[in-house]
Amino acid sequence: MLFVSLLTACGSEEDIKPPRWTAQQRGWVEAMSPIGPLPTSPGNKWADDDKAAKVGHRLFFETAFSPDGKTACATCHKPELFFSDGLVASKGAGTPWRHTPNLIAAAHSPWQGWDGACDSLWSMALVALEDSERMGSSRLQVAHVIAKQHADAWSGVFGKLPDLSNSKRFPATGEPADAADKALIDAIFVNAGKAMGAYMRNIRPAEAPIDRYVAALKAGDDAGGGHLSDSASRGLDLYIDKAGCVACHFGARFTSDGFYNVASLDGSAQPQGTPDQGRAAGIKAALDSDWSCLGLHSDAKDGECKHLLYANPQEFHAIGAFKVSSLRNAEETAPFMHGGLCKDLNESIEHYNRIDLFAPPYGITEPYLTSLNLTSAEKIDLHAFLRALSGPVPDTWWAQAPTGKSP
Amino acid sequence: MTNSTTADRQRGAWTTIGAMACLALAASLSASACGTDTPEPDDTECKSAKPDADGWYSGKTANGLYNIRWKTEPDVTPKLLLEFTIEVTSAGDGSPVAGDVELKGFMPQHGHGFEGYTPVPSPVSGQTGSYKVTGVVMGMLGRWDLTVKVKAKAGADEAMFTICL
Repeated sequence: MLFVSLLTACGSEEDIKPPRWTAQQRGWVEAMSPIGPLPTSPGNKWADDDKAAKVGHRLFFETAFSPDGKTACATCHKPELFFSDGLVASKGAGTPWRHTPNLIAAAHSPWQGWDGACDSLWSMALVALEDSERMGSSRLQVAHVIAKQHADAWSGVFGKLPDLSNSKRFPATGEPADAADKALIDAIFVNAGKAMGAYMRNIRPAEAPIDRYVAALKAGDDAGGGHLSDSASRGLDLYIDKAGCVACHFGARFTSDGFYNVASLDGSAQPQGTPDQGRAAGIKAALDSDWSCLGLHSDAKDGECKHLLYANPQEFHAIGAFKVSSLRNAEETAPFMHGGLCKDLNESIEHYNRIDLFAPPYGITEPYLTSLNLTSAEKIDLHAFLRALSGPVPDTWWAQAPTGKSP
Repeated sequence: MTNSTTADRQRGAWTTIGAMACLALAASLSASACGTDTPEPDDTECKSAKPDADGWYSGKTANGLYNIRWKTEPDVTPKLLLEFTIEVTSAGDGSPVAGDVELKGFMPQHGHGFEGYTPVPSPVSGQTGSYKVTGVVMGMLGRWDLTVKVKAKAGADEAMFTICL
């Protein structure tokens, strides 16, 4: 009896609580905030030039670049939707088959686009401008619009524009016949991309509950200041343990910036019925691009483009692989996956919860990915945690359409 | 991904430990409480090799032929491009070893390793036993088993270092 009573008195597991996280897991949680300083953009000497960013701001919202005069970068990258558009497939000059990625803190990533075909924001802007499915513009059209509508702002950063009034040398669209004229237009076009790249470096997320939670945690409050609800707190534990999301979605942007095949292809998300090669094609495009860090128009010095120098176009896992999205503001930037396969976070959670049922076209799924088998309650908790990664629409001058007044 | 979570495993372990502690107390008829100190975190999930103050990880190869030490620039950090410097010396007399060196990275829980690049360390000119490879990415969080393989005059041998990112 004494034995039994002592055993009872000594209590159940509730009295001897194990630590909530391992040291490793604690490190993962503490790394969730803050985002930290921007990395350099070695290919763009204007990347941190405020005046260039302001020119880029104007160009980002410029609809005259598009053939119909109605489409700007901001048409698909809507500031009020965290620089995404909420559509399964983007609608630009044509119908791109991929979902518009949001641009929140995109400047922190070494790769842009779902397949990483661009290795900088300035490169991405130029590719999108010339892509017949997206902006459908041309170098000449961009140059003429800048000369007509942005000449003053432009000359204050990039110098006086050449005279483009000779329509034989510089027709409205297409290409100049003369190589020297072509070089003049290319230089304007490249600087337009670099200005927009400088602008997009200013698109940053607003503070989210997770930022306040981690700050409190680091200050010694193990309850994280109560900045996560009980459900979100349980969701955090799932995120770093049973669900294992943290393996790829880690750090303060909740992404590895890597490329994985997560069975995200579906019939509606493929060009002309051909399975999207994803990263396997993207890395080749990046290596071949004139607009890359190693390309003709880069400002990088020798040895500065290591991400490209060491990229491997033969990487087996790149086939059908797509970029790991940042989960900042995920709640507001649905749909998910490169082709918009999951219409909201619940579907995305369910995708991973039953991933064993999906067979990607190439038969390659990351080998560690197996169905999560979360209960209904756990799925609710995980969703609650993901909501805690959202702050409001950035309330900055940069997130508004340009008005002519700068801060 | 896993059938039991860290919390499940820890809870089970600590419940067992708690019960055993209580049994011991009962046996000694001690009336003292079971204790309310917070236990130290359980890191049984992944035990990471630790670098010395200068950032070097050191170990002996499995068959005792070589001493290996390596460090990275920058320090081991997920998703950054890392440059590895690997030094191989004889376990017998400590002399530098010239040979073929390989660096393999593998995540046992994920079934894959380095992404996008197959590191082949090259001998450093004028520094026998020293090898370098750059552009290595450890792209995911979790347990990494880094294996340095050496083929040299004394034979083939390898050393594995577990790194917990």
